Amino acid sequence: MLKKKNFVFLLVMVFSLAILVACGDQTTTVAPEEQAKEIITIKAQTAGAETRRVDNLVAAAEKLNKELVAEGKNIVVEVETSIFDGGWADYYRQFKLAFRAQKEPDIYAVGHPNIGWLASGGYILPLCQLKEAAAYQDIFPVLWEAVTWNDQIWGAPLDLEVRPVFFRVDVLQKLGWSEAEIKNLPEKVRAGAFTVEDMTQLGKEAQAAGLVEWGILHRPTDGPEFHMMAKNFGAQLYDPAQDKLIFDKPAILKTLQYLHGLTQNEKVTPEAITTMEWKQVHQMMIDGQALFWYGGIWNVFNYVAQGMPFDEVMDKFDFMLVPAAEKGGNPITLSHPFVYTVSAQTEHPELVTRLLELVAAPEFQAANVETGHLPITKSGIKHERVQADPFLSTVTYMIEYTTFQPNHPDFVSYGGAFYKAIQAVQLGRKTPAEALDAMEAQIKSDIGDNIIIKEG
Amino acid sequence: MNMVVKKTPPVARDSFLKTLQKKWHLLLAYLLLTIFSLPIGLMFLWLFLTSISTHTIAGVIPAGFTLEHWSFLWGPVEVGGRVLPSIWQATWNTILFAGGLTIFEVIISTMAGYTLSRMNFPGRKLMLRSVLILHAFPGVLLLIAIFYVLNALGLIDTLWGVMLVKVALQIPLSIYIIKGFFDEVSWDIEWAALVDGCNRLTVWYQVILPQVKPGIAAISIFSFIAGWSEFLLLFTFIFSEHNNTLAIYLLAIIGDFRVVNYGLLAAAALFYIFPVLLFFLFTQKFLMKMNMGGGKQV
Repeated sequence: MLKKKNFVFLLVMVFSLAILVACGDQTTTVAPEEQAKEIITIKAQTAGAETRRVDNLVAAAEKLNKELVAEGKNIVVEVETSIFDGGWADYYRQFKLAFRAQKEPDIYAVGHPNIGWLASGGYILPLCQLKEAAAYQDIFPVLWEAVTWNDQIWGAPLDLEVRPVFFRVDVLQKLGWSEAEIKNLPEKVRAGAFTVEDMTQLGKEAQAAGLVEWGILHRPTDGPEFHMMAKNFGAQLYDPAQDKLIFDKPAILKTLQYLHGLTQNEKVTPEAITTMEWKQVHQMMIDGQALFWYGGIWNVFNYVAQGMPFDEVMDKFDFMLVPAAEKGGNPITLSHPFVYTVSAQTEHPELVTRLLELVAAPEFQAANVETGHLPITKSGIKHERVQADPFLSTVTYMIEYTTFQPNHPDFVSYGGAFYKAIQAVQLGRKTPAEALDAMEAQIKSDIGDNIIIKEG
Repeated sequence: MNMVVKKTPPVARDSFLKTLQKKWHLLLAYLLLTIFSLPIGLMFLWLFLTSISTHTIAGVIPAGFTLEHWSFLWGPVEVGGRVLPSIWQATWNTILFAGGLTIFEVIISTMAGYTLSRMNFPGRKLMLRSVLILHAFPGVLLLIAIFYVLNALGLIDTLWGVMLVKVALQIPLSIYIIKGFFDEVSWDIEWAALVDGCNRLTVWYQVILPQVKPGIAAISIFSFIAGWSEFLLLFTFIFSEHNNTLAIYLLAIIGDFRVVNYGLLAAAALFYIFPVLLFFLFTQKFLMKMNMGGGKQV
């Protein structure tokens, strides 16, 4: 009797498990009349508000389907898009788990510095053939640098931004600058005649005149702008020959001294800026409480979202490259292009590659203006939609001056240590030299021997 | 017009003072409770007022009236230029998840609780003592192991799979709670039923279960609230947007942290907590009858 009960119990358990497993498999049945046409679903994922990054792929799939019909192929490509909600670290973690479960997207849109871990981990396919494709022949050549790792191309750049310095035109007018002088400032920066030190002093002057509360503001969180500043002070961040990061101590010390000076000596930047909220910092610029802002071109749309009409933004602000560190030096900016990567497990690498070629067409590139991003190709820049944009058309020249962060898996750890040092000096808790030592200790502990320490 | 001035009789005043002297500790307790509860009450009030306000004064005080923030209930919602899918799919998924979790948990823990309370078998005491250790494991420690199990079973990216995991993590506490209720039920009732011809299964179902209704209500409440508020497991093991629950939908509403719409967020947060509040209000009397752990036969 007992044995029978055990058997029944076991049967129930096995049956329940079978039901659950059956629920897990989401297979779709194809109606008999549709069986003749093979539908191939390509999954594409992105994160953030820029849904255009995957919507463009849907539109490109329509073009691809027309081409397939013309080629007499009985295939229909459907792009299934998804938008991830959550932090960037969660976005990367989910991809890793989904990859392991073979449920990852075929096309994964991601910031270019992630190429390091994606490629070295075997998650994505090399896409060297794209460099030869007709669609990518007029891409800004510097962009290939952003998708190169270990001498191979691992992604297709999809949009571009630059990080200009915003300045309040109305404040300079009140300081007695003429219209011509104000209009000429970006050109002066371009020529290396206006340096970061001049920028600090001008900010201080505006403060002393009671026109603004602060001279210079920068981002309140960890991010690429700080590496851009370091590059401006001459920092080398990566050695591609050895595929190692570089801890360039003299240049990092100069950067820390500059950031320390902003809050502690010149007092042109709030001491607690790294504890503020984005919205608060944007509002300070909108309200004219500061003269300069180390921004990004998309900030224009943040200002609009926070209630400043677009025309007023164009009226009150002008934009310049980050001034050179020394007179006669080169100004700088930094880009952090988003790129399409292709899963190493995709079942349709050829179709995905064709899709990536089609999505580089000028009409899709021009759609980047919707979210304040620039096209990646010269033909995209020439598109009437981009040319008609009163803002983006004035900053496209900055692409020539752009730089990138390295595509190295350990760069996140390096960036974290750098940001801690920045916070310490700006809050006045450490001197730049002390913060540099602490940063060195931390990166040695986090990254070990996988980084080159450059002493001088 | 004649004014009648009533004077408080000295006797009544004395009795009031005496009551005050006797119950001053009660008054103090209520005063302290009010002071400590006020921030929570004010928080909910602020949440509600923000959800129906057009803007805030000095970033804190809600002002102006609008129902626009509640428009997600009847139309698409746009966050930072992105149109989110309907909230009702996420609501249905949350109901399915929390409801399914409650049903599974009640069935399993009432059976296990009865067995541990009433039957003797080898390893019973060890099982009872170790049952809470399982609950002591923070879910986050088990995430990787759970991923491998769900992946092997083909249950990754399904609500059923995550529900199973959550049931497994929740069951130890429920068993412990419900066992306390079974311990309280008199053996005489059970013996009488057995003498009358019931077997153990019918005794459990027809005689004992009706005696532990408050316990079942208590574990149902705990399960439902745990399921409704679950975030980490769903966020980790669900990849498809159509399987998202309200907790993840709220994350989408927060969207780009640089341009959070606090009015919309407040409205969605209220919509999210409303069913739990309602459920709690109707069932809290059962919670008051709870007797965790029991004291008879551990």
